[in-house]
Amino acid sequence: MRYNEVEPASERRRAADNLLAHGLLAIEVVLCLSLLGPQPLAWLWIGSQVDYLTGYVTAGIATIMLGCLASLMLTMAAAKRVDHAWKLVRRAAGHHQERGALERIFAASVAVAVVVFMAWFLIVEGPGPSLAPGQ
Amino acid sequence: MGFRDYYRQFDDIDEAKLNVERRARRQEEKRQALERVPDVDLSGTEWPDLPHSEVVNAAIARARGLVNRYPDRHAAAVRRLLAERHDVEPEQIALGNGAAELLQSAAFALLEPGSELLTPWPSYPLYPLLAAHARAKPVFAANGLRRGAATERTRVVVICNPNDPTGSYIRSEELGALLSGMPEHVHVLLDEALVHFQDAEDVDACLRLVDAFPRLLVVRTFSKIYGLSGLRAGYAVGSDPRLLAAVAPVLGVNALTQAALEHALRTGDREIERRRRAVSRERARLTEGLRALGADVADSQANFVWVQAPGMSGDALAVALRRQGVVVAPGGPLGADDHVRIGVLNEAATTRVLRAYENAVGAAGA
Repeated sequence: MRYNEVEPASERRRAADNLLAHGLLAIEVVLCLSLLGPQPLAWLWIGSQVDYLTGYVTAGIATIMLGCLASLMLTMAAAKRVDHAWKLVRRAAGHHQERGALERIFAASVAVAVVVFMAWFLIVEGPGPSLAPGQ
Repeated sequence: MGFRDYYRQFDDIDEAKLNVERRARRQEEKRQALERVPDVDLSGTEWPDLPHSEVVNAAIARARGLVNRYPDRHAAAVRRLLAERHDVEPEQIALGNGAAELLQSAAFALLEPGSELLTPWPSYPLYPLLAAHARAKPVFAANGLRRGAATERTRVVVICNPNDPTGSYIRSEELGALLSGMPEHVHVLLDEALVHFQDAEDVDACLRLVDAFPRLLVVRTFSKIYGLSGLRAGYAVGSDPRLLAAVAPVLGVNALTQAALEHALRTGDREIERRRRAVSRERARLTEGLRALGADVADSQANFVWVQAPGMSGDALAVALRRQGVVVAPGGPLGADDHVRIGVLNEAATTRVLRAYENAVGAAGA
């Protein structure tokens, strides 16, 4: 055991903790998924505004890259804290929870993002116009 | 307790604290491991150490060769080396699959149903079985062999020299006198399995009697001081060609054993001498130490001592020593209930035996 055994709380408290753990897990999922779509898109929009306002494309690209990097680090730091909280709440709910779930959630998010992107790229948009523009 | 404090009590234990506990546990395990001393087994008579790696390599090298062919069934190379060593003719030597097999073959050749095999007692427990297998009768000379002990029905006398389990040794002059008095119809099988451990006279002193006494067959082994028990190899030396032919295995000894013996005979003398000196030194120390503790210890010329603790049975002494991690052979199966046979191993083992004996006798007397 890597954590202290604690006297179990009431059934009601444990049920509430279980619910809270689900909520924290949902937040982790949202944070991870946001890294792979909404955040880059948001930074692309901000970068385009910088480009428009300054007249420098380089400033726009730099804003996008630095912004993506900064938000990635901040999001992962936040997700890690949420994951730690999730682990404690799970233990409080009576589960034997040795490790967090962030790694697995991140991997699953990447898999979902790749599938969604491929579906959009190949089916919704389709490679046809760019591959055969004359038809 | 606040909201955050409630959940903090479920937090991970600090790694540094965990490591302190792990280190303490490991220290305790180490301490217990150091306190645990394995038993020392002194119940056997074979050499306890592994054979020299070169001897083993010789057998392995032969195994990688032409083992699809039959070996030299006359084992000419090994017999020649043995002949040079003992200053006899190679024809006077028969190589066999262990001294016990040679003795059994000799018993089959010499005994007829109803005849008698005479042996001093206590002695090696195999000898009565030799007689039984040949449908003859074992006769025990409890007070040792005397002139006239052999009767009309006696065909074979077996002498273990040095004797197992007592360690007593019959010197060549005494043995010669004994042989001179043997009737014409009696053959003597002299088991010299432990002869290398004696320091009373030359190692071949008794063996040389084969020239003067054709009815004497001397049997030796590679299982004891040579430490090759697993190879089952021994040889007989005599001057009766018919008896030598009768005891030799029909198709000889396997090629691997022959290779190992050849190498051991060519290169092993220094190691044999070292072992002999070590046993001699420790045997003297063990004998003196046990006698100083009040034990009755027979003079031994073997790699063990025959011990009696006053007022204790052999079984009780063996059990008491076993409790202190010293395994010895109780004397009952060897011919004397009130004795134990304790092997001579090394300095550390001798120290343990002496300490264990002191405690065992002290506990019995308390």
